Amino acid sequence: MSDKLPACFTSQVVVLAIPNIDTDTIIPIDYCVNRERPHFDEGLFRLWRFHDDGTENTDFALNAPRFRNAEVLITGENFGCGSSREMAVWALADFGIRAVIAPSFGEIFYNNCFQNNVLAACLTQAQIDAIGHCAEINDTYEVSIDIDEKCLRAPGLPPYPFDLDGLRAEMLLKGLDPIEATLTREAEIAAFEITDRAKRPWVNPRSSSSN
Amino acid sequence: MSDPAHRLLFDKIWDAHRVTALGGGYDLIYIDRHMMHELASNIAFDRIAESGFEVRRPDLCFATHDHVISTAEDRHDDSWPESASYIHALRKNTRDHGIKLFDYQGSDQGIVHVLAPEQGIALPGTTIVCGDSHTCTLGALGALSWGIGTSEVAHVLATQTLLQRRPKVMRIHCQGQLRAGVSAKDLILTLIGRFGANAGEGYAVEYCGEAVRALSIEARLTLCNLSIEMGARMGHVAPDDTTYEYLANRPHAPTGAAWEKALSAWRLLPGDVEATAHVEHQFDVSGLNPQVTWGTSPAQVIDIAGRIPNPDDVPDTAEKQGMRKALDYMGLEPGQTLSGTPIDAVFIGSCTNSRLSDLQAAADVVRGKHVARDVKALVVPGSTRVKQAAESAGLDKVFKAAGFQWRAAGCSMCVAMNDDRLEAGQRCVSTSNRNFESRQGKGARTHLASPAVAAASAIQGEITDPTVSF
Repeated sequence: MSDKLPACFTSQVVVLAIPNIDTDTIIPIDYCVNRERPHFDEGLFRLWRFHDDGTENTDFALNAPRFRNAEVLITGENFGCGSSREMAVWALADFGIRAVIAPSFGEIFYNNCFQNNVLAACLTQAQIDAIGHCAEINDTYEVSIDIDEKCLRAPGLPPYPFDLDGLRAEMLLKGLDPIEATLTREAEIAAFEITDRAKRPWVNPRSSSSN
Repeated sequence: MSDPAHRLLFDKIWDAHRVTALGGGYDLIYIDRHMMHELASNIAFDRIAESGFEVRRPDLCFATHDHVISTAEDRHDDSWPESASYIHALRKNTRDHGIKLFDYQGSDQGIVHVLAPEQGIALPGTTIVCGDSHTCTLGALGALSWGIGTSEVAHVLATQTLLQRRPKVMRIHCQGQLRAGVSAKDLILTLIGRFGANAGEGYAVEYCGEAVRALSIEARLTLCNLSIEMGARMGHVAPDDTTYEYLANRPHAPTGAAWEKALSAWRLLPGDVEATAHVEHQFDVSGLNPQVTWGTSPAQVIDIAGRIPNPDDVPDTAEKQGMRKALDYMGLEPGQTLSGTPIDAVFIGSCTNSRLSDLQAAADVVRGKHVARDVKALVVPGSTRVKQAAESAGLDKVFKAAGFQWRAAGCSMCVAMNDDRLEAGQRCVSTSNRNFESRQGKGARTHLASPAVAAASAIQGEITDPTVSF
């Protein structure tokens, strides 16, 4: 699990102004297997970051030295669509990304972000274009993300609020383990199982005689 | 919270599984079935072992080998080196926790979303999750079924619940009748093309209407399978007599008095007549034609006889750029027709279209004919049961005589995490569900289509409409 997020942090942004970036692109299947954290960054945008011969593609934004420590990724709509692979989030987190900002997200990817203390937040395309334009003309452009205030602050632009459910904000800031949090409700789960078993006795799967 | 007097299918299932409401639209939802496969489970099992958690309900978990195993008929644990550790880990983890494993060495293994329906594991009114985005497939049986990541897999193992935000509901009413040669695959591709790749984000989609009622269960499975490609994690069809006939006497379905009780409960699941969804779409299927994708998203799709759209005609800059990029990757031009485009490969398989009716549709097209020269063509049945049924019907002989490779069950060239993959630049008609860049192999070019179109294309060596040419 990645570290919990500070209530407010400032970072350089890296912009990938491309819509519909799917999780196969974020991390090809070959880089999902037989490795552990924190080494999933090797597969991050693999086919875009590296040429066929294994050398870095210096044209690609994430390879620019000035973005190597960027913690905020700003990108296009439907980011993280496609496969449910959580390695897509691990690849971003292992690279150092703590927040992804887009007009919309693939839902499974969005949920996976919060399992790993990575913030996924939506801004409008117009707001994202404005930030992208500022970042383009200023090599050292930085934004501040305030989780308490649910707001992104970018120099020269008005504050941009984003939606973040209270539950998710709390888990991000406290670095709570979702499993341990749920297990505090063990009594309620057990109570549900008893009443449900009475209502739907057929729902326990029948054991098949064949194996 | 839904109006208790007027509830949709979605509401009835969601409300019945709420363990507790957590505020802000979040509920703790009980999970009736946890399907597992070798690729998304080992890290989750390691996680709960390290933390000292127990698997709460091993009796509700079912596991299979599908994603990374070889599909060679003589496959063994070491057929593909990178897969071996995953195969072994799933065996060990399921054995240690008393979870049923459909081992590929047994006779019941299959792709997880083919296996769950045919084994009677997926039932109406159940909540089902799996570490795979195409878990929406199982909604075809009137279940609420969705994909999750590895951390949530661990959460379900330890607690048998998930923290979820209640989605809204979108209903797509499909009227009319699909004409001959036009299938559920063509219908769902049309819907994705019409509504877009993220239209379903934040929604559970219900497919309804006379055209959906007329579909077999296998066709409904295909329909629901691509819900995630429209952005919807969940897609479902209300259960009816077609569903109950399908499920009767399946290995893990209830029997006897339990079956009768279940039937009574299931008949109450379809949405109340007065219930309305947040979004209602009406769609007439009568004029539909076979569909083929031209680009690198399932939403970039046209009639097989249609012409590829021109990015210049699209006002939105991001969409325009996306189209140009896709055309460049796919080696296609605006205005070009797909029909007649030469191909290098055909893949008939995947959780979308690898069931017996899919293989029958393909076999009907290729019987007595032969795959074009220089075209690599694979048929991969969705499960060992499907394979055996196909062999009993002689379909394997039809495919082999026609020059197709006949493989053992697995995800194969859809996930391409094994030896079933394409070379850069190869163009493939595929019955799977994703045509993303490099999905089927680095630089591979994927055209999604129905089994009949894939089969006809293999014979002709070019993208082919079987309703026209055959």
